[in-house]
Formats: sequence, C-alpha cells, structure tokens
Amino acid sequence: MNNGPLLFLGIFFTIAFSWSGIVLTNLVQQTEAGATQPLFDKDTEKVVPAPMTGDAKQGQQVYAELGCVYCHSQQVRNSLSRDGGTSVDVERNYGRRPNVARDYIQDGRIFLGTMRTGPDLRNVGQRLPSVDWHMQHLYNPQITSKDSIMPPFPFLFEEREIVGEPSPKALRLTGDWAPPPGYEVVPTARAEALVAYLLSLRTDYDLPEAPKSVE
Amino acid sequence: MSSAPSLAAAIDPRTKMPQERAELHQIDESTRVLALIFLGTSAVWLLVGTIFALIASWKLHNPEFLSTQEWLTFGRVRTAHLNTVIYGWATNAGIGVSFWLMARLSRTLLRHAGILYVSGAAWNLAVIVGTFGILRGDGQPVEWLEFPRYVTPLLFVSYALIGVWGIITFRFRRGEHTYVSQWYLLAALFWFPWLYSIAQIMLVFAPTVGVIQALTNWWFAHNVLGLWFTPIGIAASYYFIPKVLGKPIHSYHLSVVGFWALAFFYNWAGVHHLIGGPIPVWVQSAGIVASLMMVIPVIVTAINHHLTVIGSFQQVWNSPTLRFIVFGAMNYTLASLLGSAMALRSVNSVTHFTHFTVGHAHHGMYSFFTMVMFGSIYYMLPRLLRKEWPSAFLINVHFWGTAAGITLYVVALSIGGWIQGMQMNDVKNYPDFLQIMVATKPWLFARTIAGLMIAVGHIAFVVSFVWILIKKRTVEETSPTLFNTPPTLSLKTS
Amino acid sequence: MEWFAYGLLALIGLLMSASAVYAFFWAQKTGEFRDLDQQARSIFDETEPEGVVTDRFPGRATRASARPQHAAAASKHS
Repeated sequence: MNNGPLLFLGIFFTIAFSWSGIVLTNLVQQTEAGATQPLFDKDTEKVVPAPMTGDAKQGQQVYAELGCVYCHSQQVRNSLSRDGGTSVDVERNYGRRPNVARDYIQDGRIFLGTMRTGPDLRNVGQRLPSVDWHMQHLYNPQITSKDSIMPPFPFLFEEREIVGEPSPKALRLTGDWAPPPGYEVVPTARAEALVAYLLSLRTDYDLPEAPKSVE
Repeated sequence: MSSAPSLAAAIDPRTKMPQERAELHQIDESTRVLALIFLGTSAVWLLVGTIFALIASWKLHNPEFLSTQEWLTFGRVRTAHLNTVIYGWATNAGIGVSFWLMARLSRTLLRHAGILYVSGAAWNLAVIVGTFGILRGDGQPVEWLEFPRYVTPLLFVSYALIGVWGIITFRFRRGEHTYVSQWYLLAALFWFPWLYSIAQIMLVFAPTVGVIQALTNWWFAHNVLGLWFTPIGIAASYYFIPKVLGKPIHSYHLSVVGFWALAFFYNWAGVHHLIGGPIPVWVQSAGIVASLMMVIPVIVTAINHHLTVIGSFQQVWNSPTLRFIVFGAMNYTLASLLGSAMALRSVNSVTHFTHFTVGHAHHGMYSFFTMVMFGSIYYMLPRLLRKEWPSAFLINVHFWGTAAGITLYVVALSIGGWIQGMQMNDVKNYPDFLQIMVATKPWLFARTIAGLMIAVGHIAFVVSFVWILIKKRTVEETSPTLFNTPPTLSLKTS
Repeated sequence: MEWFAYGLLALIGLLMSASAVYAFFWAQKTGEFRDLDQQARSIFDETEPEGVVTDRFPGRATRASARPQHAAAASKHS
C-alpha cells in the first residue's frame, strides 16, 4: 500500500500537460512564426506596431496602478454579429479591425482585460483624440458623461491659486465644476502621462495576418 | 509529544511507520493549534475582505463615494477585496481544513507542526504586507496575482512548506485505503505551488511577450479556482456528507473517475476567458472542449453528493455542517454546469465582458467553496475545542444571511449581466455605451443589498467563532468526539 | 539553447505520461480499485461509527431524534 509516489507523479503530469499545451506550445509557435516581431511597412516606411513613447509608458504605469483594467478591456474581438459580416466590436466603433497577437508585442505589460463595465479602450486614441475631453473626464466623468459609474480621479489634479498668468494646461471647467474664482485645476504629471497613454491606444495600421480595416 | 519521531526521521522515507492507528481525539488534538491559527486568521480576513467588498460594490452605483483618496479608488479596493478573500480567507480556511482532514483520513498525528505555525505566520504577514502594497499602488497589474513582487517570494516559501507538510502527513498514513478526499487534498496541496511559481516567473519576474501573458494569466487564475479551491471543497464534501449522515457515499467507483476527469480537463479550461480575443483559434477551441468535458466530473460528483443526501434531508437540516455543505455541493453542480455552458461560443458572446462573469465567479468561490468551508468549520471547532457551539440562533443568522445573500447576488448579476451582454451586442438599438452602463445600475444596487446580507451573516459567524473560543467548557462537554452518543437521543422517540 | 529547454521539457512530459499510465496499472494490480464499497466505509470507526449522525444544532438533540431509525442506530452502537 505505497502508491503515494505514483499518485504524485500522475498529479504532476496532468498539470505539466496543460501548461505545455496552453502556454509553452503557444510560446514556441509564436516565436517560430515570427509573431513576436514587429514588421516594416514599406508604404509608410514605419515599424508596425510602433514602439511606445516614454510618456505613454509612464501613463501605462498609472493605468496599471489605478486598476483601469478591471473595468476596461483592450481587445477588439473577431466574433461575428448576428447578421453575419463584421465583428460587433468593429460595428460599435471599438476599432477598425479585430486585434491579433502581434498588435500587443510592443506593450510590455498587456491589458487585454475581461470586463466591460466601461467601453473597450484599444482604440480610444482614435475614437476620442481630444486631450481636453480626457482631462475633464478623468477629473470627473460626470462632466463629459453624465450618469457614468466611472470613479472620478481628483487626486490626479491639483487645485491651486492662480499666480500671475493662468496655466495653459488648466482645465476649462464651467458651471458647478468650476473652481472658486482665483483658482485653477491643473493636471499633475501622472494625469498627463495617463492621457498620453490613452491617446497612444490606436490600431491604425494593417498587418498581413489581420482582417482588413474598415473605414 | 513522545510518539513523534525527530524531524529528520519524519521526512525520511525509510523511517518505519508507526504500527497502531491514532485515535480520532488524539489526531484532533495534534492539529488543534494549527487549525486554530489558520481558521482564526481566515475569519479575520473574511471580515476585512467583506469590508473592501462593500466599499467597492457601493462605488459601482455611487462613483463619488470615497473617491478623493487614491488608495480608496475602485481599482484598488476591488483588488484588495479579491486578494484578501482569496489568499486571506479562502486559502487560510482551506489549509486549516485540509490538514485536519488529511491527518484524520491518514489516521496519523500531525508531526512537527511547529514548522507549520511559522509558515502560517509568514503567510499571513505576507498577505498583510501585500494588501497594504495593493492599496499603495505597488500591486502587479495581473489579475489574481496582484500582490507586489516584494511579498511573493515569502508567500511562495511559506506555501511550499505547507504543501510539503501535507504530503508528508499523507506519507505517514495508517489507513487501510487512500480515501477519495485524500486524492483531492494531495493534488491540491501539490498543484498550487507549481501553479503559483510558474505564473510568478512567466508574468512578474520574466514576463513573456504579448498575448502569452494573457494565456499564462488565465491558465493560472482559472486553475487557482479549479485545482486549488475546488479539490479542497470537493474533498471536504466527500468527507463530511457521509460522515455526518453516518452512511457511505453513494458510489465510490464514480468518485475515482471524477477525480481523474477533473485533473485532466479542468486545467485546460481557463482559456475560455479569452474567447474571441487575439489568441490562436485552436487554443480557444481546446479551452471550450475542456470546459465542456468538465461536465463529466461535475455530474459524477453531483451523483455522489446528491444521491447520498437523498432521503436524509431532515438530518441535513438539523446539522449546521450539512446545511452549509449541501448548499455548497448543490451550487458546485449548478455553477459548474453554468460555467461549461458559458464556454459555448454563442453563450460566451453574450456573457463575456459582463457582470454575468462576476456573478459566476462568486457562485463558484462563495456559494460553493466558502459555504463548504463554513460547514467544515462548524464540524471541526467543537471537536478541536471540546465545546458546543454557543448559539443556534447565530448559526441560523449566519446560514440565512449568507445563503439568501449569495443567491440574490448571483441571480441579480446574472440577469443584469445577461441584459448588459444582449445590449452590447445590439449596436442598432443601443448605439450609446453610456445607456447600457446606466441600465446595469439597479442590478449593481441589488448586489450591494446582497452584500449587506452576507455581511450580517459573516458578523454572526465571527461572533460565534470568538464566543466558542472564550466560553468555558461545561461538565457534559468532556467526550473526545462530541455528539456521537447524545444522552437524550435514545430516550425520546416519538 | 531555447530548443534544448523545450526538448528537455518534452522528454519530462513523456516520462510523466508513462508514469501516469504505469501508476494506473500498478494501482489496479495492487487492489486499490478492488473492494470499493469497503473503501467508502474507511471514514467510520468505533468512535464515529456508521449509522450515527454526528452533527446537529446545539441544544437540539431532541429534534434530531424525531426520526426513529437514527435513534435505533444510535442505541445499537452505544
């Protein structure tokens, strides 16, 4: 009655099997197929996907720290709508084409997400290119999107007394949202980085393995 | 303890096994301190996790609530809730129950438990530091692995010790057979450190490129549920249901089949979190197939659990342990079958990315696992402390608060999530996302109500827990294993 | 170098599967799958015997005894 070691090996085997199947084979397959390498687009003479800028990288860190991923996905799915044809996500203007694995190779940490309490953000830079809009929305989502359940992030901003000229970066707030006279609300470096990151989220190039973009 | 050999002998495979089986009360005694450490800390974490949960839940319909402080923002509080309940409550409770079960089923005393006290303390210290780290913003942005990288080595080492000790306890078994619960426990104790170390390396210390991160992430996160919590929950159900009722499980053959089916299929299923995403279609299909194959172990376990219970509902109702465990077992069947259905592409296209998934996660983690742990604790503590539970009323409040609360929770989020999914797929009638988001608010509010009911249950539980710890032992409560021959039982027959 | 690691892993995987198959046949041979009904009873012993309900709400012993077969079972064993 000493089947302990054998039971143990069987138990080990099952998990090694799934790990090799799900993680390892994909790693090997993608490395082998060159899917982890960027491409050079001859028409535009650019590397796609483009590497992240320094600002965007810092912004991604803020995105991570604030836990944005728990409510926002970053993937345009390939699933078909009921009428057939284009993807529901493309129809909803989440992006001009579904995403493929190569789209994420420059991201460092990836934020595919599994929840859409709020909308998908993979192409938010394309959909909402205004810095002002994002600043106001982060300061308090109620300003731009009334009844939204997104939390406000007042700690990314600073309300300060205007000394001399008002800051050009100050938020243009009106009505109830406006700060007291003589004061202004300016974004901190973190807010600026976060917005730079959000604006950098755009899949505006084509890849040979991806479906064609729609206009 | 004179019967325990030296440390070296305890882990040396050539050591001669002790000849006689230990008595149950001796075994209970040898696990007492260990079980109280893990179960006591788990109860504290349960309360902490509940508070975080209520704050996070309230924020989802009142976004201005506690929004001025960065450490209380939704993304942090929600994450603190997840990690305190997973690593604080559920894992601590799971370890406490596992060791007690493992020692009893192996008919052996727990050896050198001192090492486990140290690793238990280290584990809880790591969870405390990790939770503060998350609130500070040091967390790793990887779902289910958010603890900052400075605590994960401590977590791993303390857990590895715990896992190894479980396996050593199994090695010294004196039972004539390896009971099915032992299979599940052994597997769980071994699977978890493997899962955790691989995920840590591939996601935190040497992150892989691109979507492989997501695959590793969900391979891990789903397996924590499937290969760590589920086996412990099933092991406890396989022990307590026949034990309390005093009749063997319906079919022992099936239980063995169920174990291996779970081991083979569950660990492939995690990919269903990425259906439709930018990963190879064949992996998605493998995940879907594995999720559907999970129907086999689920049905097998369901047959065993439910057919054992049939005809004994009166006893189930009269036993606090079985009320919770049978509730848990019923929800295991339900949640798992729903989970398999959710992996179907047609269903997934609606439920993916919605609150339906959140409801489902709580269905598995709470309605099943947590309820089974509550039931186990109701059986264990009187035997460990040789005292009766002080108040039937508090147990009732606990049961009704949690059972009704979690049912409302799951139902509300399932309906709300389904509506949300249907609207998200219907671009023509719901072109504006904000409209869909606003429509989820009433369901999210119902979730907060459910959370408050659960919180009341938890408070009753913790009061009971503290009360039984501090109350004095009465004269009658001297029997080593309580309740087996209650004095009034054979006298009053109506 | 990477391929060496993958090759090693594949080899380990192969060994593991072989051992799992061996484990099954071994367990079969040594009777781990025999007399399963008896195994299901291994959780009962003299102190907590089969046929006795071992848990109830505190202070509710009388209600648990409402079902005669358990009272009978309990008295048989005590």
